[in-house]
Amino acid sequence: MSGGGALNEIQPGEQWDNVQISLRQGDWQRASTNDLALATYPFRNWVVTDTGIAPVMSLWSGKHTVRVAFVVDPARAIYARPAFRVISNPVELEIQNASPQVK
Amino acid sequence: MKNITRILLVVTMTGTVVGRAQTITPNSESSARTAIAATAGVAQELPAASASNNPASPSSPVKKLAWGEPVENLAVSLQADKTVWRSDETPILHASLRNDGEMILMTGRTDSYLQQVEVDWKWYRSRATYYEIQGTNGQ
Repeated sequence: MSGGGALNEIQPGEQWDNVQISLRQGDWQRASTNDLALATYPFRNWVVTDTGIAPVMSLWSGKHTVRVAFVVDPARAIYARPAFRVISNPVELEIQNASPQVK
Repeated sequence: MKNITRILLVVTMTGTVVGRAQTITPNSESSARTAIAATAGVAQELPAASASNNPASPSSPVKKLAWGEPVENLAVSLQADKTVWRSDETPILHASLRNDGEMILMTGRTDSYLQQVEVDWKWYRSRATYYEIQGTNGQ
């Protein structure tokens, strides 16, 4: 699967709200060590290869703890800083089996 | 009320001075002051986003947000509108990002490519595989 998107700049003092995080089945795959080390996010070299062999995330019935991380790149070369991850607070959610349809 | 113009000057390694002016409306200045005064990582009072950041709910009530540990003065808050989801629903969460530092930072606001999620202590990455630069004056 491939997709596209855009990089956006967040300015000093700026706050973004309502950034949607969809946990749709099939949209997420297990992160590799390289993914977590950001080696597969070549901000200035473009394409990341998706091998398609990593397990895909499924949310089974039950309680789950979720956090989100954003991969961030300092926007100017003069900062001389590498890309980094920033991680959110945890959120608890529960998946319940859908009730069977009444016919 | 008056708008304020803030000028950021950066001196590079070669001695060049790079300047950048930013006009701040009363609303955004108030939001920025509150964000800078706040301590990340602890639940805290924050005003609803300004109209420019959150056109969908310009008059939302004040919300209490929990924040993760900041990195490079950038902090992320994750929120859920509800805690119980049916298995045939797609759980949708919402994140806030707050830049309390002095660097302009780039990440994905509308695309999942630069997002990772951790579910029950296992990390997942988005299956989207490419992006294009879209900045006001990016590199």
